[in-house]
Amino acid sequence: MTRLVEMTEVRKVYDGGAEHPALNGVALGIDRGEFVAVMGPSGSGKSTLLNLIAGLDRPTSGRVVVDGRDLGRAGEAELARYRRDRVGFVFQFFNLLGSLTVLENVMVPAQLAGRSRAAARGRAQELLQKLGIADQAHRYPARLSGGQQQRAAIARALVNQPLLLLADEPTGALDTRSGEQVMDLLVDLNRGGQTVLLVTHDAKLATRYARRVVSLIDGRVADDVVLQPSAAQPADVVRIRVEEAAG
Amino acid sequence: MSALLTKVFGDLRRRRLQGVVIAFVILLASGTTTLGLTLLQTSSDPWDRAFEVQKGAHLQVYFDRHKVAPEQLATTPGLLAASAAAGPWPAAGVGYELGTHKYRLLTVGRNSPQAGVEVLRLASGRWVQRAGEVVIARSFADFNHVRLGDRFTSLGTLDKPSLVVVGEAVDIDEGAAELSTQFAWVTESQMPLLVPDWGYKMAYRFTRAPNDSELRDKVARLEAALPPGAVQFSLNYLLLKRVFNITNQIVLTFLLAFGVFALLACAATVANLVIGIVIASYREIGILKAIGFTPLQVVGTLVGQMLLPTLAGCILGIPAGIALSIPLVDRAAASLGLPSEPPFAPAMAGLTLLIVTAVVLVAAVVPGFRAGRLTAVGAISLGSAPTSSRRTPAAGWLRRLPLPRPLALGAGDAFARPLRAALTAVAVLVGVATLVFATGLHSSMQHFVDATFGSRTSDVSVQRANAYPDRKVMATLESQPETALIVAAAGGAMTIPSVADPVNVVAYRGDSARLGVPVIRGRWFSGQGEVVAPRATLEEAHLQVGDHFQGLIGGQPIQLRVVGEIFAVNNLGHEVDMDLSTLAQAAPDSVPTYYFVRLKPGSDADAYARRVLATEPDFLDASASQPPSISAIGVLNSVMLVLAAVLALIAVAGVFNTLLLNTRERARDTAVLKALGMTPAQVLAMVATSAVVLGTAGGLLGLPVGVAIHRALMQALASIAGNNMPEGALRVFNAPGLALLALAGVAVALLGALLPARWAARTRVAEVLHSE
Repeated sequence: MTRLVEMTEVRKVYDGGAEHPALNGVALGIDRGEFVAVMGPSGSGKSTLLNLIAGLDRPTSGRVVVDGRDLGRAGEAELARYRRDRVGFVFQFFNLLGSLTVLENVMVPAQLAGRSRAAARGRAQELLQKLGIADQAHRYPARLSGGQQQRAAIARALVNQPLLLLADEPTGALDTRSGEQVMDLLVDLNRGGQTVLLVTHDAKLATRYARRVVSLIDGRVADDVVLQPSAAQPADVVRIRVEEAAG
Repeated sequence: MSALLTKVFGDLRRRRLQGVVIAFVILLASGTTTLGLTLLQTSSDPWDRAFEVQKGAHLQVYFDRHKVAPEQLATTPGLLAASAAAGPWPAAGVGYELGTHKYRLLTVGRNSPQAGVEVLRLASGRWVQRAGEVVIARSFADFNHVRLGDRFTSLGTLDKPSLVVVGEAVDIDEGAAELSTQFAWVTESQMPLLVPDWGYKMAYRFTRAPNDSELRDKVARLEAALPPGAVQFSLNYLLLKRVFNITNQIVLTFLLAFGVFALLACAATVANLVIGIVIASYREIGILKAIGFTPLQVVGTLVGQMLLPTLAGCILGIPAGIALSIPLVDRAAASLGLPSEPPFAPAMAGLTLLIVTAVVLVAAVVPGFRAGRLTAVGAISLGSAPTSSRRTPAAGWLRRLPLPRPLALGAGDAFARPLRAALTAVAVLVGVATLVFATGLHSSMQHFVDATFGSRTSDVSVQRANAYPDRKVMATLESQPETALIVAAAGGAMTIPSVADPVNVVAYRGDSARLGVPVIRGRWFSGQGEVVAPRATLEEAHLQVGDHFQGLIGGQPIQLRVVGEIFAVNNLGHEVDMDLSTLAQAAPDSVPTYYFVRLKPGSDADAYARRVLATEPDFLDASASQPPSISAIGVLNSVMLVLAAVLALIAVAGVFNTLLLNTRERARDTAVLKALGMTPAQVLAMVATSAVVLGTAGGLLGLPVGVAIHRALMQALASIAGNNMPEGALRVFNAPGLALLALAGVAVALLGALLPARWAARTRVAEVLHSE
């Protein structure tokens, strides 16, 4: 496997928060094809970490390199192109554009990338088919269930064949069954070679689906565990370690 | 401080930018309204003041001295029940020469500037004391740069006496020097030395200011009591006042019209803003209600947020409007030699404040009630529901346009809220309509001037002094090889039943149809007994094209038939044009004194005029025809330019406001799009496209509205001058020009989009999405 994400001594301080940095000396590497879950309690810095890897924010110090590109040095337009071409983003609340149909929502990133309408449409239809919501293509998001909306959001995230799929609490707004379906989908994608970075506060979810769990506490990596398929109770292991790290 | 005020001030602090936008548009609108209303109140002030101070004449009548004796004239004040009268003074039109210029001045013999009626006020120098001296009207002196001590040569008699200018007087009869007859005064004994023939002028004043019909009755009484033809001409104070105020009246018409448009645009902007605040504040409105605010208090918080910036705008706008009116009011006062008075009209300032506040109140209260009616729970749940983009048919259609995705999204966003889009389009519409009008005005005024002064479209105009015979002029002109057409014209006056004063008669000799006087309807006269006249004459005489009527020329009745309505602003449309043979039926001795010459193509008009003048420099005046530069038109164009700028700025503010609301409401969507890879440039393009769509809609609607306003106001302008506007002056727009003006709407919208688009492009994705 080759390295896709390399974070070196990353520190992120928000305005007026110098005494409590959101991230404080984080070093993390993610290889291509990994399924990594980042977990931690509220305020641990996991969303900040995700934002930095997504190119939505810049580190105060340290380096965030994705696919050989130093995101801290990239300009706004370059970051936008990076997000468009290299990253797929799945949000907790789906964030589909309510004025567009499901199909149009999925087409948007492809069109932003300059693909023709027909090409974008073809790719979007293919993804909707694959994710089992082709029959919802011409409906507006508000008419869909939460699970269907999240599938549409995943289709949108995949439309430009990103190197890295970022999922921020993708099941947070879903019922258990829909949540499981979405997570199964992410696992399937990962099996197909897609690198997935999942952010969650749910230890069970992290250990059940991810193959590596990174725990953050107070802006530092408290633990970084690669889970073996044979581990009997991985969730418990991780939880204990996090609790130990917390102190 | 009450809870309501605390909330209002808090909201204003939070929405400083929107408060500034409201204050700005109110400043512009209240300034325009104040300017219009101040002018409305003060425009007639200078003339009224001067009329009282100088005991102005309600009625001036010019008599033929061969038909009526001074003793008879002395009885006329009693006949008319005048409270005061002055005259008879000898009076005649006299040609003068000063350097290379020739002037024709209505010269009156008066031994004193004081009189029971028509006191003349000396602006400089002194009054005439002996023969060889002349006092001239101040506006004439200013316009022609004549100074005290200059020497005029009178061209009325062969011995050409010389007159030295000893004074400048202000007369309330004088209009703008470039437009109206101007006056000169000499001693009574000087008159017979200046012209072989002259008439008498009487000035009457009445206890109560008479109206039009009373003035008509008085002239009719004089005509009935004196021998036929004794009354040559009369002038009443109502006409003089109208002529004096014509510039301000025209400016006023436009100002009031565009003041209303500015208020409309303001109302649209305020309503838009309040609707936006209500939509953005559902949750807060619910909380207000939950903690005990009554529906009226909720409305009050919204209205208060609008009223405070409105008052701030008025505090700046009303004094600005008054300051802008000073040059216009001063211009009127100065032309009467009056000291300038600050045109502060408290009633008008108060009225402006009232009107502007009322417009804002209505614009704010109507959408405010929507918030007031919501239940606490309803408002909170509306506010707590996830915001979703709106789907309207127009927006959906626009989003599916085969455009790059950011542009299609932006186009759809423009109509995501149809009411907001419509109100914004109205603001752009008003701005574009004003630009269309201001552009059209310039061309139309050129037509107006050409039709007014170049109507007898000649290359050279020649005027002879009475002492030089008509046949010699004709011989001179006919002998010039470049001459293509000569049309001569004689002047006169005709009394028409139910028209207050005798109207001007212009009687042509030659192929006058070729002069191209604009014919509004009917046709140009083609034979004896046929006449054409402008609207004022026809209306006051209750005549239609095709009607027969009897006029009196020099006391002689004459049967005439109206065959056409023409455009002629002389004497505010009180004119009748006919063939010289028609005039000769009543006045056989009428001889032309004006000559309009059309030259063969390629001829040098200046050289021609110089050559004709050289044949008899003392008694001929010849010049290449040139429309004069009219200061009133300059004033009008400047005022319209300011108005267009004001309304364009209001439109910019309206678009700015709308896009600000749109981008704030759509911050989440913008953040999502940026997260999906939309570049800052694409965000800019998306917001700019919204503006372009709104600007295009407003621009396209603004074109027909602007053209219609142009037509209506130009007609109003022509009406003030007693005419209908010739069609040529109304058809001044062409397709490429209109397309450019529609683009002005887009430019206005893009200007308004500049900041919101930049702000949207800088949306911090992580912050926006995190705050969801």
